[in-house]
Amino acid sequence: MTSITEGNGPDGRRGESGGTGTGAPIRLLIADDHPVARDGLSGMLTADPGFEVLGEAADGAEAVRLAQALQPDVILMDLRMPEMDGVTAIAELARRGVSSRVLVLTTYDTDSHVLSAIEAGATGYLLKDAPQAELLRAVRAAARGEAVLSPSVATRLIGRVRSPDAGPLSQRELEVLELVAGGSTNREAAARLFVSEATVKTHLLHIYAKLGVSDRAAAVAEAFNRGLLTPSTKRP
Amino acid sequence: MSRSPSCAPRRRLANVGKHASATQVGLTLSYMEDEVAVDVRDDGMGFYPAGLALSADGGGFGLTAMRQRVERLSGTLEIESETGAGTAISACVPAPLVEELRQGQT
Repeated sequence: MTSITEGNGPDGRRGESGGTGTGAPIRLLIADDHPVARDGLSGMLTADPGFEVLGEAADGAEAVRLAQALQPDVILMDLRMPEMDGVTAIAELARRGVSSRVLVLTTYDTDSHVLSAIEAGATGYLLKDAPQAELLRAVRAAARGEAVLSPSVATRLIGRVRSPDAGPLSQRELEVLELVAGGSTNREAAARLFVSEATVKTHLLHIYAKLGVSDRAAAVAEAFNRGLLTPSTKRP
Repeated sequence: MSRSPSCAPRRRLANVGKHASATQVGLTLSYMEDEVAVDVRDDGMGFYPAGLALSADGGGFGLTAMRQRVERLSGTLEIESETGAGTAISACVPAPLVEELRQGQT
């Protein structure tokens, strides 16, 4: 098993040859919390000599661990997973300098998911209803570092570029943002609003998408810039 | 299928009454642009969720059935708990499905 020691990406080593049947196979990691989805993908990919499945992860944290250990060329990443979701895992991979390309494979094509995944560093974004041939093509393209988007995802991105303001924040989103601006962690905000941390995170993803930012600090700054929050804002 | 969104919280509420020794329980329905979340949170004694998360089928105690129901709707079920710090369960499903369910019921 090869390991990357100098941070050079897959294109430097095997990019053009992978998956064509002539060179070394594209080395993959599959991250999905559903065993059936993992088995299906793994079976489909190992049936093609152009691909080699190095490992499978059931949540984001495991995906990050395995990616560091196995250094795959491409990670197929589901977004909704327990413990650590896909977007957090993608950001964590980037933070740790893992050079594997991430191809998001999900059922969600909503603005908030697409934007946050791409902002976090995903190379491509594919929906799970993609035909097999398209999926295989996308994995090869991702291994070469090319952006791959499902048509509906591309349409959404174009829509966002044309109209960057995705509507006003809801009352609840403002409440969440006020708590975050006041220094609350997700856990503290969840306790304050008496909801789950998962729901606070979901609200934050929507807030990021609406404000065109990718983290909580930028969301707070942007909200102040737009006058959505003021220094004197107090929760009633 | 059309009963699913209301069934999970109902079952969860019954469990709170039975086991949690909670003084407060909140049921929150969050309508967002593309999804809907149902949260049930209590301030009861909680439990250690890692013990449940370890089993591949998503745990016991009726949580498996709850999770399956939610996942059948392409949604996700999150369980957050800590001994002494209460429990929160969140079921989140894509909003188009909620639309379909609503139309199916009328």
